[in-house]
Amino acid sequence: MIKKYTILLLLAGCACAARAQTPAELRAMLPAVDGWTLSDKTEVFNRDNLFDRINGAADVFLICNFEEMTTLDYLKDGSKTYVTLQMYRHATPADTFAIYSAERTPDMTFLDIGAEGYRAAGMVYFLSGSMYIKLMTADESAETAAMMENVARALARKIDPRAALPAMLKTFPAEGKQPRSEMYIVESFLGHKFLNSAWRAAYTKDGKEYQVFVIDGKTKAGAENMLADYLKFVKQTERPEEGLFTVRDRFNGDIPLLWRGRYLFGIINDSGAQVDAGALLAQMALTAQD
Amino acid sequence: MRNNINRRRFLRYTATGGAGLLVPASLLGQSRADTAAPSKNNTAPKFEQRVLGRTGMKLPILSMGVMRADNPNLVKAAMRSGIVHFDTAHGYQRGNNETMLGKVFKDTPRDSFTVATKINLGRDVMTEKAPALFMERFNTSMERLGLDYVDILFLHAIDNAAAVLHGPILEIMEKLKKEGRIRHTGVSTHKNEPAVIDAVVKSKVYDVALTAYNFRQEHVAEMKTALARATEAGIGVIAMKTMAGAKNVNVSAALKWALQDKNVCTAIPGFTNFEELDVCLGAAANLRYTSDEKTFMAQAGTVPTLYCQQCDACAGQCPQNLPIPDLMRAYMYAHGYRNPGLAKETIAALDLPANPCADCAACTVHCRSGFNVGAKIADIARVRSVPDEFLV
Repeated sequence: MIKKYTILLLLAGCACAARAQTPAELRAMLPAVDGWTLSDKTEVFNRDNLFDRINGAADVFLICNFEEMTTLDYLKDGSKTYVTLQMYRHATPADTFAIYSAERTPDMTFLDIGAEGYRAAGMVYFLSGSMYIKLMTADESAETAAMMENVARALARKIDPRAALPAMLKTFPAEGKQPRSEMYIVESFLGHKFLNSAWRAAYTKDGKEYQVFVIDGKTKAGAENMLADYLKFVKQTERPEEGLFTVRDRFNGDIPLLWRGRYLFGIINDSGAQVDAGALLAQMALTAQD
Repeated sequence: MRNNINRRRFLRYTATGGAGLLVPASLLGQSRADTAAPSKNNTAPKFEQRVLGRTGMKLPILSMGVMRADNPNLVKAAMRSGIVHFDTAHGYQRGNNETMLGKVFKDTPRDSFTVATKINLGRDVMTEKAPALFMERFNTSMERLGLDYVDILFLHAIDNAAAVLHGPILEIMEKLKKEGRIRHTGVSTHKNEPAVIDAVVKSKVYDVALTAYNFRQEHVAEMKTALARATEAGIGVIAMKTMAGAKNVNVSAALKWALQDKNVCTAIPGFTNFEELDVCLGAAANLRYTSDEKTFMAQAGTVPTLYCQQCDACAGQCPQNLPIPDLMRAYMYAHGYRNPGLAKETIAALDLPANPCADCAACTVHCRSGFNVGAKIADIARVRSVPDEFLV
């Protein structure tokens, strides 16, 4: 009985942590800042009108299962300076990581805000669960930069004080990995409509770049179906079986691929880097099983 | 309409059907993926080409909006399929899109493709800092693309005539043109497009208008006449958002709809996979509707969207003064995103009466998107009585 209740409580806790914030809740989470006033108007954008605010950039957000964006400004008292907050909510934390990682570049100054954040001239961005938060300004003064970072930290604590990067990133071995090169591709991985939910990281060996990926089929049957579609597309006749083989993809080159359970592990190696594909993919498969 | 390839020939040319058969010699040898493709026939498909206004650029009617693509091999496949013009922007994926394109262009002869990028200044477009911001962003874009020049540079996402005619930006555009860092100039617009296009004509500086143009635009008649005026004045027109930003669109029909307008030089659909590329190639090869496409287009105008535009045009219409946009948003949460818990939270915050529509025999609210507002309120109000444990 106690066990049953414990499980129920855990489930309730998870549901609570994953609960999406409404625009009103997000506004209420924002801290008051001396010398700054929150704009009266809170604007909310959805899948149909995100274009109205961020134009063509909306396309990628929509692919990443964007649901809603809440935006408002901090206005500096007695001046024309403002800081704009855009708070994007996506369907799942993985979807949010997809858009965050699509916009992330490794040359930023990274910050311990939310699961991860960074700053650059006129911006502080961070990720927390299903929320991707952007603070932006045209005022590049140190004072405004500090204010933005403080607001970001306060908001991140309210959204989820225990926010963390997706556990799937641990699948990628550290050796040779380019820092913060991990990405999540929601759909059409490698340009193939049938390959979805792919995690990818970039590696370097002897000055040559290659990429390692893992596709999450959600179930063993899901992985098998994707693999079958892939083999059919490239006109390879072998029957999908768990293990290592090579997909001869006329668009993306030869792809060493390991099917293990719900996952497909693979390497994109256009540069001809000397990689022991079997060992690397087996190592990843072990980590993913853990 | 001139169609240079028929359906049977076209199938040999598609990205997935005949990939690698179309590789121009100049594009070969870029990667192992390229060389892996068989190359027995290098006859590229000949799409209809149109001239981009006074720029004189002759472009295939199908170009690529790269904004959604992150796979360089998709861009290369597009090149092999006969597409030569690629559209990106400074802000797409915070620059990663330009960087990805730059990697593709690095090993590609410069005279085998054309590229456009766009600089968005947002609310700062009319401020004193606009020229410096513009130059900083342009220089960054050029670094990412790794090019000496771009073919078209757009002032991005403009929705009013004043911004088009803003002197400091016009001066920068002319200066960059003189320096040879850009070949042509343009303005992109997704809102208030006819007025922006007319201002482009008036500016005498801009050569190209990149505009949202699709069968679902409420002001489509106004758009058509604006494009005709632009063409008459020598302005090149490129169409974007041809899919109307929606899912469940017949991609081929939507693309054909835009390209059937001869005032459009080329369109930039944002395909993300080889299958979508094939669909776009097929549409561009033959602009006449199939019977399925005719059916789709006939019904297209009658399919209402699920998402409230939050345009507030309904404000003040409800005798009970109900917050209609919030209620429509709650409806969207429940039915669009399958998140009834969030719908309930949203409604709980609105402090609605127990039966919000009880005093009205019929709903008098007129929604611009065609929503049956009364029915949606009746539907979504029920979520309040569902216990939370069923809504996780």
